[in-house]
Amino acid sequence: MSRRFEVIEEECIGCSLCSERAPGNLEIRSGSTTAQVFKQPETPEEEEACHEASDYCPTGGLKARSVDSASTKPQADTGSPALAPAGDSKPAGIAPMKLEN
Amino acid sequence: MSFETIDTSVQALWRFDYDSNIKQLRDLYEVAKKEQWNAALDVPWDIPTDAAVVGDMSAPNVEPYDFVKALTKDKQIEFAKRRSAHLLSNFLHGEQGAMMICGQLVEVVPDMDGKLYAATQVIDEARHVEVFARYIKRLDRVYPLMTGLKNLLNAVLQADMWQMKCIGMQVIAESIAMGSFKTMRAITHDEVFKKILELTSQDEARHVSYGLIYMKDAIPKMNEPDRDRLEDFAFAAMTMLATTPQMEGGKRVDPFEQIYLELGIDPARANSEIISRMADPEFVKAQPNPFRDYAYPQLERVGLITDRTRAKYREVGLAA
Ligand code: SF4
Ligand SMILES: [Fe+2]
Ligand SMILES: [Fe+2]
Repeated sequence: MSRRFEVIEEECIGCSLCSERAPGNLEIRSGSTTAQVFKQPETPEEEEACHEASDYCPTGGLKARSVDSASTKPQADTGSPALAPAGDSKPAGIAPMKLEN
Repeated sequence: MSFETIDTSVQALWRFDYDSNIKQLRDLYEVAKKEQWNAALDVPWDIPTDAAVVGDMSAPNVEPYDFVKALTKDKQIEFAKRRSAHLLSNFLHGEQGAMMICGQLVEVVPDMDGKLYAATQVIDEARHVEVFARYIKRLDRVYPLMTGLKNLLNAVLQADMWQMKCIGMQVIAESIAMGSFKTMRAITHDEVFKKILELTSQDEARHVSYGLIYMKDAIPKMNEPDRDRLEDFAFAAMTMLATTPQMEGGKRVDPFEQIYLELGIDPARANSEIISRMADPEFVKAQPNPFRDYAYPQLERVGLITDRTRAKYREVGLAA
């Protein structure tokens, strides 16, 4: 099971802590005030870094969701329902989902 | 000279092994060192502040009250400025409290990574004291510390468990500051104030992150009676800040009365209008509420909202 990460713009304050933790996946583009996932994690190390960034994002604005690993493919971010910060004490309650390319 | 004292006692803890044992805290310490700024040089203090564009920090998303609309344009601006100074004064006092509490964290937390990081936060909070004290002078004067905030800061300063200090300051107070600064950034059009909020928010974000990292690590290791005490402390801290009325000389007072009187506003009229708006649940729901919107979700994230305490938060309207 792998995870997809997404920044909820209204919640992000652009503090850059996530891009410090996961520079291979997250960035704050110049001129922007919020972070962006420019690449979904592709290695266990990247996944771990994104997971940590989400866990310790001060606003909870970097969300993670589980995806069925068989169908995981990197793709552009789209809006998503029912998200919860990764690794939180409260279960996210998200069913595995397939992503279409 | 104006000051007061309270007695605190902390158990200082020496660590003699200097290797990192909580990597995420060490990483945060590295970020903190990199992100230092200078309150005297990095804020464009040479730009004057136009009072008309500062905005009323105490009233986000609020259609102006009739008692405000009845004032002349100049007085409306003055009213917004003074209410903002009142609110910012409390952030200023809060920054001083944070600086002192962080000094305690350096002493009491059990890990070297926790101590090193907390040391960087002491200087962050010193900068915040410096910028807010300086900026408030552009608006008005420094107003007294509100009763609820004072009770909370004193409770954290006097708390006997380091986890209580961390929850009270880093998770609750810092989340509220971070959320409120975000709201204020959206309201104000004053360039100087915007820059202050941008720089301080960046710091506050790290302070919250420290609380999340440390508490997610520490809470699962606590025994049940201590955990229960911590949960109860979190609830007490939230209600202290959110619901304590303003008291002076043992009497309940209106914190804005002085401002009303100075601007020729009838306090009774102002209060009755505010109370009638607050009686509308839709109005209350639409207002940003940093307790409900920022602090409560963080307490959930660190696992401090439990079956034992959840209903209590709902009862007082602090649950998200
Ligand atoms: S850590 Fe969270 S709040 Fe900070 S920039 Fe990243 S997503 Fe935004
Ligand atoms: Fe601060
Ligand atoms: Fe802070």
